[in-house]
Amino acid sequence: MTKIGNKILIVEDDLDLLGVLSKKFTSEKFVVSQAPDGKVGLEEALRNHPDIILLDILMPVMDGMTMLRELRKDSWGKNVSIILLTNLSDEKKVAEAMQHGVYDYLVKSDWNLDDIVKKVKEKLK
Amino acid sequence: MFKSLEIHTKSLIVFVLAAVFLVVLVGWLTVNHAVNYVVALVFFENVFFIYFLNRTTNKLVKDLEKFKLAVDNESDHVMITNAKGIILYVNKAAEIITGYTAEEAVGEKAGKIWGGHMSKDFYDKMWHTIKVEKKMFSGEVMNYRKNGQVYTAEIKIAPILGDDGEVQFFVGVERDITKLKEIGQMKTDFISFTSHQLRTPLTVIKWNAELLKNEGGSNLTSKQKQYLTEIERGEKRMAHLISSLLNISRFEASKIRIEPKTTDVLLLISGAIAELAPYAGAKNCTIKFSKPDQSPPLINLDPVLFKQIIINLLNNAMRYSKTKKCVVEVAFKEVGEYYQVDVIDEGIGIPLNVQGKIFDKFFRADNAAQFDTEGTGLGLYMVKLIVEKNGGKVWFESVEGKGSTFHFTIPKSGMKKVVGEKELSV
Repeated sequence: MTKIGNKILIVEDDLDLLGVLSKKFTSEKFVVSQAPDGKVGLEEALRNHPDIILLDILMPVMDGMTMLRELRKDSWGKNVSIILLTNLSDEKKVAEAMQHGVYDYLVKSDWNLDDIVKKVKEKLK
Repeated sequence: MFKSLEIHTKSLIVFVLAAVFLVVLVGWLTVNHAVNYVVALVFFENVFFIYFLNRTTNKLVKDLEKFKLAVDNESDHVMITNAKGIILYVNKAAEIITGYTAEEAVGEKAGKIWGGHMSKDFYDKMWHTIKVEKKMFSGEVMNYRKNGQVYTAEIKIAPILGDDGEVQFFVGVERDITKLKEIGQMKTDFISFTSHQLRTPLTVIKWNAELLKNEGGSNLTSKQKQYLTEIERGEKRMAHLISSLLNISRFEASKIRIEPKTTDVLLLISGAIAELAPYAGAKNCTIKFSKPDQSPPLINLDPVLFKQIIINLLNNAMRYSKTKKCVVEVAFKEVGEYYQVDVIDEGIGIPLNVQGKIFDKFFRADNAAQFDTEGTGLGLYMVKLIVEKNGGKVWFESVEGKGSTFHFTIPKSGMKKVVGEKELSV
């Protein structure tokens, strides 16, 4: 159910992208938390239990796939909605993500912010 | 070295003996006056025989030395071993590449010094090929230099058989391709760097422009909105350029997969035309599609690649047509063993003097560059890559100022599957 104040966690190492995504979701009345890598993202997710996570794949310290695997080990984390952000369609990674219950991924450069918001809202319905 | 010295010494001894004998003979003839011409003649004949034998031997030695010099100075690593693989000879390049001197290498097995780091399977197969099948073996190996540095070599090993058909020697030629491999890797890295690093800031531009457009809303003047549109257009051009470059590098490296599916080709062409409707609308173009009377059967085509050909050709046809006079026709027909697609325009045409270059990478004709500044010079090159990769041909007729007709063919048997790492980035 989309409600005012849905919690979204955005895990993205490029700070400019993280910034613009955060601004967009804030203006869409989401409560946004941010993480610059998978390690911080994992801690943040387990502490704050967001409704949905936008997760970049290629990141330093801990990449998105590792964070995903770790998250799925947690009793809360194993069911949380995740949308993967990628730079290119990387089928191997996407196939692996599918095994971890991620059915949505989007190539960043192909998408508008509005479409991303729409997708996130659909996922929360 | 030792062997050739031996040959030299032998022939020298023979020559000296012959000379001594000649001197003795002449002395004897002078002293005795009793001339036995027959005896002398026989001796002379012998002397000449020995002399010529010597010349032949010398020539052989010289030839051998020439070969040795050539092999010694060959830039590839050359090695000769006996039938057991014990090294008999290595050239200078082998010394340089492996770091082992000839003295250290001769008498050893390659596997005990620089080699022996591949899997057992690899060596089993290698020995089977050269020893049992007695055929040449070629492959790629990872070896170690004396200083511990790893290097990649392309090797060819040939057995040299004796009259009895048994292996006498093995001749191995190895080329150090470490640098080549590194360059290949650098190219791959560069491509992924380009895609990742260039796209990210581009996405930042795109999303911020979108944010500004949405949030600015009615506060923006029409001029400011125009500026934003220009930013977005620039972003799209750049994104397009990056995907084109990526596609081309991947195509050139044969990394693009081709996945044919049974396709209704007419539907596919109509789809491509529909996709271009916004551009056609903006340029006030009409696109006619002349279908054959009878629909062709379903064809095995990679729909993404096929559509890319049509889109590139149609884009050019519209881009290089004047807005008021933009009529483009697409025709589909059967010609022998091929299906042929024609894309006909009444645009600016291609000047005769550059018609030979029109499919070159990055090439743009002057009249095209003046008419429209935004082309990349990659569209037709991409068309050619795709068409030729799939067994077809692409060509054109054009008259400057009158228009161009591009044709391409695809075999009726359709496209063949190619397993690749990447799909076309569109």
